[in-house]
Amino acid sequence: MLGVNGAGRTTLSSIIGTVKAATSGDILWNGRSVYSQLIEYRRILGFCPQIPNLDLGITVQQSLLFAGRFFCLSERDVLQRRAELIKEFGLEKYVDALPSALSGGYKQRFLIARTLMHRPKLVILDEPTVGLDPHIRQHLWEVIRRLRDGGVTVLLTTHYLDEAEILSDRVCVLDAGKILVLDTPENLKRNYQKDKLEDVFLHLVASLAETTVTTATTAIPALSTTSATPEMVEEEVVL
Amino acid sequence: MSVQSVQKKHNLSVLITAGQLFRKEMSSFYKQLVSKLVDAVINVSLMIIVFGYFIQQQIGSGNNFGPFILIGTIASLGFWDTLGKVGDMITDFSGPRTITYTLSLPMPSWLALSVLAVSWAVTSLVISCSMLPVGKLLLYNKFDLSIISYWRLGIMFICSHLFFGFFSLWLVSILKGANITTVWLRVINPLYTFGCFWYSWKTMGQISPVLSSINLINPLVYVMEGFRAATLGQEGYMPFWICAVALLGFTFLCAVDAISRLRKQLDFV
Repeated sequence: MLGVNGAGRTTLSSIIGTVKAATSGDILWNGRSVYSQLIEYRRILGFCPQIPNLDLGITVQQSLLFAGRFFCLSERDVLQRRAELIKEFGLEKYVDALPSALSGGYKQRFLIARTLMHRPKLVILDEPTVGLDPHIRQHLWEVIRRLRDGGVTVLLTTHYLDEAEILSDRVCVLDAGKILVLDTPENLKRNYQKDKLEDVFLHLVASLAETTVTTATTAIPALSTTSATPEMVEEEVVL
Repeated sequence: MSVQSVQKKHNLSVLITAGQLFRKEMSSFYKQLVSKLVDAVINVSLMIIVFGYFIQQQIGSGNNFGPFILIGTIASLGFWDTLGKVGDMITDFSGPRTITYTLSLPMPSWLALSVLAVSWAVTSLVISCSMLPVGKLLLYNKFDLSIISYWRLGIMFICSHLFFGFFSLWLVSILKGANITTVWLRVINPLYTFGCFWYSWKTMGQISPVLSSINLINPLVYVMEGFRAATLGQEGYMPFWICAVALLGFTFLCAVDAISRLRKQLDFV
């Protein structure tokens, strides 16, 4: 999901992540409203917010342990998964540290590790690479690719256009709570006759006044939404 | 798999999540246990030394003020401890909002908030309970343990601390936009001052029947009277069961109102 500041990316991702209530509209999962199957939906969902909402009272490894237990993973599975993620995100040095002792980059890695602890089928990452060093950013891209290859749906909000172009199967551009376009990067570049996604985005931003809401043509397997706010999408859009 | 067994499995998983949330809160508390116990011992010791010995000397030996204040102090320890959580939560709302993680767990949000309130209740109960032997050591012969009705005391510990937990949650829910110092001075302070900590409800009634009647809407009155009825004997205090039932009623009201207000305030599903 792309968009200028205030476009509604965080609001929409928070609504899909069920941490914010929708004022109207619905989110459909398996053809049914997530609000009618909230607990089941949350079990397959991993939401990583923009601002780390880490529990400051327990250590990194305790936090990961509980992140698994909350989702009813077996104790053996929890321990195994925790070890995997600690290694994967390079958190070995900080397992007994409280989150307040972590730097911004490590906090972000820890937050993503916690999000992935229960092996969610839908992962929402809200601006996960903001403020990260380039090598950590590259590593995170690898993680996202692996998740995608493993059949996980990743909903990534970002304002880095290179990131969106490299990682996305489909790109959604939001403006003032409305979906402007939703298509593959290749289709967008072809349709707008541009070489880079960045040029497409700049073109869209420049011609916002004339742009009408466009509906999507293809589908992400895990999820579809109808409008999250009255103004957001006028018709049902399958993400 | 039948619908019933699916539902049963679903309910079980929600309970497991709630249980683990409680366990996580206890893990955080365990790290602060020693520090909180030290704080409580200092508080109880000061109150007993001043009221049980110095003020006792000043007012004469007609009444045994030490145990009266000890029980009041133990009863109010939980109140002050859970009120500390209010500040933590308000700070969290305007900062990292860790509450959003708790509220996105696979369980109903009302249950998540209730687990938080219950965990606050249990942690403060642990601190309060452990001050009873400290009080006995400090008062020694002045405090007779044989007159305590332990099962009534147990009930009162549970009812009062549950009330403290949900009352704190309710305070969190009403504090949005309000100045915490103003709420402290206008709500907490009058509740505590008229909460029968320094005197019994009966004494208050002898001086001002109107004020003591109005004071029946003050939940701390039931906490203090209930504790004293369980530990110092029923005579001179409100009937124990009235205190217990009233506290459960206040707890229910605070829980319902707090969850409803927080839902609007935090805009969660």
